[in-house]
Amino acid sequence: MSKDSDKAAAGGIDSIASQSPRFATRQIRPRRGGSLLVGRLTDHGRANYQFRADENASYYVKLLTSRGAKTLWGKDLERALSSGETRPSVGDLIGARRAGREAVTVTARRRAADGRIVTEEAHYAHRTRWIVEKVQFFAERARLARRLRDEQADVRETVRAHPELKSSFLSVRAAQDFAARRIADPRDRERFLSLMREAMAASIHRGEPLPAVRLRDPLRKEEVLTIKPRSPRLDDPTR
Amino acid sequence: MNATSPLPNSHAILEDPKASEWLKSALMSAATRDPIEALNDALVLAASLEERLRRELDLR
Repeated sequence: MSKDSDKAAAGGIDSIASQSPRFATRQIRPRRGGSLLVGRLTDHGRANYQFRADENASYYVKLLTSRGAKTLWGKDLERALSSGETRPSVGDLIGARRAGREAVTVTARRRAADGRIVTEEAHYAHRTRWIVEKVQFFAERARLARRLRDEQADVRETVRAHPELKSSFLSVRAAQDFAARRIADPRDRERFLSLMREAMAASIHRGEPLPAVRLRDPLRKEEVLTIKPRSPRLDDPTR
Repeated sequence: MNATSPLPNSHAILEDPKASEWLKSALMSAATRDPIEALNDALVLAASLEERLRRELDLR
């Protein structure tokens, strides 16, 4: 009797070591991203988890870091490498970060010697989602995040220079509209907007996908660019 | 898609026209040193350069 199940990869990386059509993605559960691992990409490819014959199919990424060689395992690494923005190749200095976990349903099947399925059981597991890009990508994201955090920045100029931030600024404006209508206390309003802006900036900084806001009634270009910075206060730091 | 890239030895790096002069120079100056001390220093250097990269590029 052979076991035909998909097991979660061990070794600190809570990813699924194999992926089969039996996986049914249920939801993506966002989680605060892990730290950015930086290193030179030395190798990557499909292999059984930990290169063991009795383990399930997985994907590995080998890095040479300042603390030695590291091997990451996870089925999602293949997607992250092949469909990322910068598509790193061997020899590139890259950054790799766990971006969250995806809840999946895994069906464990036990088969008889003749291949007949004897039992079938569904389990819930998590598969780690990865962001793997050339290191320049993360540097650019850090720059974009600083732009979004800068409340004094000229939004029109910023969006002209970085059109990819347009949706982020639209989100900020939507939050400003919401706050103006629903939050009475100006201090609470400011705190809400500050938290919202920081959460968006942190997400951009981590390298997560930029928001793609779709409006019911598309704004004219001039409207998009009319977000005004708050008025300077006496206790603002000198720039 | 398996793109294996074995780590090259010092000789291969010195012969590699794409390798930087800085790396070649460091390898040559390390060749006369005790290998343990040289690697120990290189690891400190690598960690220090990574710290600089993270600081200058604001990587977290």
